[in-house]
Order: sequence, then C-alpha cells, then structure tokens
Amino acid sequence: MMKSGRIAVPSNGQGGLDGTRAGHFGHCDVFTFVDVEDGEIKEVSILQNQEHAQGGCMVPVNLLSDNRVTALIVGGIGMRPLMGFKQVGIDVYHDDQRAEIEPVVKDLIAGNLAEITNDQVCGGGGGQI
Amino acid sequence: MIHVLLVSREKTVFKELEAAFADIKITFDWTNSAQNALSMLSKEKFDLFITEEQLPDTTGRDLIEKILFKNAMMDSVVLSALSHDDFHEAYEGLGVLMQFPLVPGKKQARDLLDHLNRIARIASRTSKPKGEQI
Repeated sequence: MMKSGRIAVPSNGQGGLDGTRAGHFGHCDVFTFVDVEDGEIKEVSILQNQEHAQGGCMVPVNLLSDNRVTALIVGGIGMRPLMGFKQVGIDVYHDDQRAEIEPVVKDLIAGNLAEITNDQVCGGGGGQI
Repeated sequence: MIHVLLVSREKTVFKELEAAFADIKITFDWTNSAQNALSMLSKEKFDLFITEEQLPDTTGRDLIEKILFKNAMMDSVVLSALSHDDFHEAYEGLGVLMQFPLVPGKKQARDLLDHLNRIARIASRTSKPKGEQI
C-alpha cells in the first residue's frame, strides 16, 4: 500500500483523475499528478508535457524528478527511460489494460499494481492501454 | 567541453567525424571493444558514446543496454546501415540520439550538434515548481 508520495500518470487532453491515460508517456499531452497522504488522495494537479525529441528520453525523467514524483504508471516504456526513472528514484508501475486514470491510481495506492520489470520494456512506440 | 567515446573495430571510420569537430570544443577517446568501453566509462566522465553495430566482443545494442543499466543519462549514437524503419524498430526503446552512416562525416557532425542543442533547449524548459491544481 502506498502511504504517501506523488503519482504521475501520462494523460490525454486535460488529464485529471477522471481523464484517460496516454499510451506513450513521452508523447502525452499532460501528466496528471496525484498527491497521496496517509493512503488517501490529497490533491490532483496537472503538468504540461514537454516537446519530445528522438533520444530525449531523459527530458521527462528530469521533468518528473524535478516535480517530486515518486511513482509513475505507464502502459509501456522503453529501457532507457525505465532505467532513468529507477536511477532517479521513481518507481514505475505497469497497467496496459485500462484507459481510465482513477482505477489504476486507486489500485496503486491499495498496493494492487505491479512494478514493471526489465523484460516488459518495449522498443519504440510504448505500450497500448 | 563535450567528451565523446568512440567505439569501433577500426579507428579510421571516425577520421572524418573527428576532423569535422576540429574547431569545436569536443574531445574524443577511442576504443575497439565493448569491454574496454565499459571500463573507460566507469573511470572517466563521458557525455556521449558513438558505436558500431558490430564490435569484436558483442553488439552495439548490447553495449548500449549494459551502459544504460549503469547510467541512463549517457547519450548514444549508432553507426548503422539499417533502413530508417528497421533502425527505429531495433533501437528506439534504447533512446539512441541518432543513426549515423557507417562512415560519418561533416554533415553528421553538424546534425549531432543541432540535435544536442535542441534537446538542451527542451531540457532547459522542464524545471517547474509544481503542477497546476485542478
């Protein structure tokens, strides 16, 4: 169970807890941030993503790290950004089934979402949700 | 100053590239194997490495993976004759900056600098205090 921290979810459009997840975190419109305290959702905010450049995988890593994110939920991710997130201390969780943000966030807080493993990384376009 | 590690079976493949960077503050070191490259990267600070697809002791792809496990911040470039689509398929999850031809030259030097500057510009815009509350 997640007691406290900031969850980031790559999101489509305006994001938000009732929004939908983006399939490729590097190309998402916004990141939905969910702040958790004492195992409860305390605050929801959004952050605009940055332009994506080939090989610029560390831009979102640094963006989320600078914004105190502690956990990220993805549908798919390449090896380089996964290693980058791990190396800056951001745990990366995986769900490639559900498009909605809220249920996967609640699952993560409840401890029902698995961390992505190195053999689940994808090459290229990211995973599908 | 940018410090670049060149990894190839023959040093001559980088001759034109090194010459193209002669007037720019870039220093190069060269080695001919992945094992040597990993050793050098563990001892010295490099900003970027450029590798061939086939090395005497492994593949360029394998070298990139090994380096990423230690330092995902390390940028890479690969010398490859693959088509654009095949290269994309083979390497994109590894966050390779660029594909170079088997013998890179002046054009690639210019393209690499432009690309590094573009990423630096994007990165300079990323630090923001907090998300917008909704």
